[in-house]
Amino acid sequence: MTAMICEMVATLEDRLVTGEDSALRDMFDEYGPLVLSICRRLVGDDAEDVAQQVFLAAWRGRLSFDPSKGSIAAWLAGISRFKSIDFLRAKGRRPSTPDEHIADRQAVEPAVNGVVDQMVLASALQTLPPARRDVITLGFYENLSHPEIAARLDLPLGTVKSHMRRGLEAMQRELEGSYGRRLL
Amino acid sequence: MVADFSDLEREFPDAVRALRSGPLPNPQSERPSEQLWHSISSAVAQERSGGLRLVDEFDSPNGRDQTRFRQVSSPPMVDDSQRGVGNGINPDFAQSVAEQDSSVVEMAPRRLGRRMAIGFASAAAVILVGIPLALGLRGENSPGLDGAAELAAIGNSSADGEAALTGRTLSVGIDALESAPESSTYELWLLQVDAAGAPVGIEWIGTVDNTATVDQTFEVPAEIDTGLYTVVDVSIEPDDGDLSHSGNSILRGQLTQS
Repeated sequence: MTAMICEMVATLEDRLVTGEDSALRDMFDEYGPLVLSICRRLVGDDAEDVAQQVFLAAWRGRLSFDPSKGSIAAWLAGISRFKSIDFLRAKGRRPSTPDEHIADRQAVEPAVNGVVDQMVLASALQTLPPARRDVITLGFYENLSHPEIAARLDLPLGTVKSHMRRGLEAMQRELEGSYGRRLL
Repeated sequence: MVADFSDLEREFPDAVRALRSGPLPNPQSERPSEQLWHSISSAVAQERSGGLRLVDEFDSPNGRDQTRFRQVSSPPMVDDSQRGVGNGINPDFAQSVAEQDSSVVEMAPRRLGRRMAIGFASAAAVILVGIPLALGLRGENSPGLDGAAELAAIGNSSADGEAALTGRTLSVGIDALESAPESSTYELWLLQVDAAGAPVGIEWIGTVDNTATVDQTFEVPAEIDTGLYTVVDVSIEPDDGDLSHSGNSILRGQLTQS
């Protein structure tokens, strides 16, 4: 099953880069809920407008997607991040000079980043293999130690540590991927 | 948090911090509507067609029997001046076309992103030149002002340059231009500023060569009123899919009438 999903994602990545029409629809079907959920939390009633901007920007900038830097989900979350920042900044005030652009971005960024980071992690957690997901959930949300997790899941301690490390590694990578190159 | 996670925290600081910041939300709490998909796919289809598309039955109140062209409009979100959307088509001209042939309607004066502007300009040329010619009409754009500008460095840039506008041709010369940062390009914009000098409109003009010495000419799209867009701006734009101005300008100058 995991292999099938991986194959499907890889295919979508390929089709995205080559600009096949089906890739846009598949990307919308697969990641529309994530993008819209992020936008809803950040901009409320204007979520659809911002989500539309996210998918248009993603489609126009599809060549900038680099699978080695994270998943499509992380990439789209990153676009959602700066589109929402743009929106919030625009809503809050009249046009600024381009020089003020960065300062304005920085004013709304921390709150946006907190929300997007959590959504990226939540999405990444869902895509982890179940054993890794269980280990991370027990460690972070039930505050169990590694030996306690090992006992609970009836796994060798080394396996628990391996699952924890690889799970966090994947989540860290997704977070980094969601920031892309736009680090204002 | 138990002690044996401290190493992991050092190794994966962002993930651990975010995990610790509280219960994770549902990342799929809402499913998007088909209406949202339609708006996305329609906008993409419009862009692909270079700014023109045959309006289908979805848009036409009378179904397929009405055939008309409609100009691209970018999707609604940020207000126009934030998104670098200009005043666009001369409304008098658009109206004159509409009056001549009522099937040509909805000249939405909005702009696409900078990478679509070439296609858009071509499409605008079809609208602004082709259709009126076919109808025996002659459009009247705002005359604009021929002028020249000294481009002064902003921030840490050591570049300097000049720009000259003749009709719809904007010539730009730059010296001592630093190499653009990795995965970035230099982009040329025209800004409209208010009486206080604050930009109220931003239009993308083209990509500036990433060379120490630049000598380029650009065609200013017909929908940009060069009488209003009189400030020349060069910015660094990361290749991140965001088509709006990055806010990171390196050169700017006011065109003054020559």
